[in-house]
Amino acid sequence: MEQMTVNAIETQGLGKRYGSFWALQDCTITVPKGSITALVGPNGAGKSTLLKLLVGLNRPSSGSCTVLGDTSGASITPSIGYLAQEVPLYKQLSAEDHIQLGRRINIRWDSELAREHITKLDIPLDRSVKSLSGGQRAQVALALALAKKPKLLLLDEPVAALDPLAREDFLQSLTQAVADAEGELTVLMSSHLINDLERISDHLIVLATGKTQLCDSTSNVQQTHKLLIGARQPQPKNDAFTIVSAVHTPRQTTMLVRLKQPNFHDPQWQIQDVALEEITLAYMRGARQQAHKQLTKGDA
Amino acid sequence: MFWLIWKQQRKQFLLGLLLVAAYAAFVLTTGISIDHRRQPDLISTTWLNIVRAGYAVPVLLGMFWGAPLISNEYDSGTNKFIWTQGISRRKWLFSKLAVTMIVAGLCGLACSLLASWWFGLPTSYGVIGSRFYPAQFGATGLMPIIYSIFAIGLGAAIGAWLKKPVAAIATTLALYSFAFFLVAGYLRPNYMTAYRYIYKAPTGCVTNHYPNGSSSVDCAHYDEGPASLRNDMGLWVTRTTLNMRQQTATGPQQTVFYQPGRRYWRFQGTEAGIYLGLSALTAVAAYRLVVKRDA
Repeated sequence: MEQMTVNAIETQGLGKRYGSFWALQDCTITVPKGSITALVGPNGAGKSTLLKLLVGLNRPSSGSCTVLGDTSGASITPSIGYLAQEVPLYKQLSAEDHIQLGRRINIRWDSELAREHITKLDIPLDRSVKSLSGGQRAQVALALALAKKPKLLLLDEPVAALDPLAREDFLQSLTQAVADAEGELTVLMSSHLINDLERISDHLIVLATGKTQLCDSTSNVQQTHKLLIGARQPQPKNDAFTIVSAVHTPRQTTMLVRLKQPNFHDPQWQIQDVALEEITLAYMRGARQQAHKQLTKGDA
Repeated sequence: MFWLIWKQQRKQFLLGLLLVAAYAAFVLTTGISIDHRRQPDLISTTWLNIVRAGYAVPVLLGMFWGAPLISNEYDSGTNKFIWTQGISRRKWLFSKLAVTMIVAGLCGLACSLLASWWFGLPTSYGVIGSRFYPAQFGATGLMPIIYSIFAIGLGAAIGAWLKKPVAAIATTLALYSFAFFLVAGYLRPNYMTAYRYIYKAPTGCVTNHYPNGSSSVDCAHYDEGPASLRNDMGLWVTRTTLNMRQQTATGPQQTVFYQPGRRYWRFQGTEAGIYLGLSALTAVAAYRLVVKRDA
């Protein structure tokens, strides 16, 4: 019961199969309440699938998920703001029309909040959505998601299609909304790369080839992941770390490792900090190699 | 929800109403002129066929109101928006279906009232056209209303299945036509046991012999039949058979199977029941596709 209040999302072995293809497999993650969590992974990693399962648009093929303490899925949509990848809105309707629509079909709804958000950015309320730019449309969609007064915001690649300036504005709006909610709002958003979300997120989930590679707070991730450089060692073994990726030259070995204890000292290794981006890339690369190996093994 | 349906559908609703208005204008102007002149000989077959074309209004509604109803939402991705708001998919679906079916049914009612009035105008023949003629049967009575409801359900279910508006429109046309011809051609003649009249082909009949060995008899009218057959201008000859062993002076003995015109309303009732059943099936299919399937 204690766990329920701490985590906004908990999944256990969650999987989704389309035909014979597993888009998401054995996904076990936790998203702490009040966090801004970045869900990072390459195309086809299962990010969209995971978000759709969490919001109840799709049903899992295996495993279970608990969202805001509820396992059923459908009954909690009023508390979830969801923004799909292609930012779908009714093209022929205006932002104001959408606000009116939201007011009619939602139990909790703050029209003023949405209007304020939209007008503050000089986006016309009365023009049809199709005449707005991509960045403006994303902002309208965010305003509508926030107007539900959600406890959880699920954003599927919200900034992927935006230019750098619109991206900046969007993330700023988002951080503002989280600050305004005073810890009551949890955000889970996906992206190809951590760069987009690094500044504002405090939690990181790496998803690749349909599986969870990493799920931790960004500070923990940075503390426990180091680059070790030393004399060539083809098969280095050490109980203090696990190897995420390794590069061997004739004389030197460079490894990205995950430390079991944050304080690690070993005279034979030169220890360096690594950027979050490098860490996520290493996990994605590792997952791809693993998948490739399994595939070739299967062929043989 | 009704607010959204109105916002989304008003253009299509207005176009549909224009179609019905055009039909009404034609039926009323031609009908009034017939009534005034009381000269049935002058009823043009073009007029007759245009009024009968009212049977096609439901399929148009099915194609342009029904098929895009759900497929448009899948196509633009807005289903993911609306299904994550505070309204259940079931309520969303049934509000859309109910409103569109009711408006379509009212359009059908308007067409039916117009056509039924037109065909019922007093003439020296007593009746215009034949009430069992497939297009006329479909343009009058209960049929335009029931067909419209079915067409919306069919279009919506196909749209939910295919998720693409253009494909859904084409498939709706194909499947609706298939159902229409199947029912009109194969089921309708059997709603009630046909009356039978055996008669010897009179003079004036032409016996056609075909290369494949079959033959048929064309007679201008059934002069020799019983009074009920002779005087029933609304009757429907569903089938004629020839008995080649019973040759008469003019050709083989012929059996005529027919449904008397007075059975029109019982046939309308039976067919309405069939189409209402089909409509219920389409609603169930749409429910399963929308509510039980992934977004």
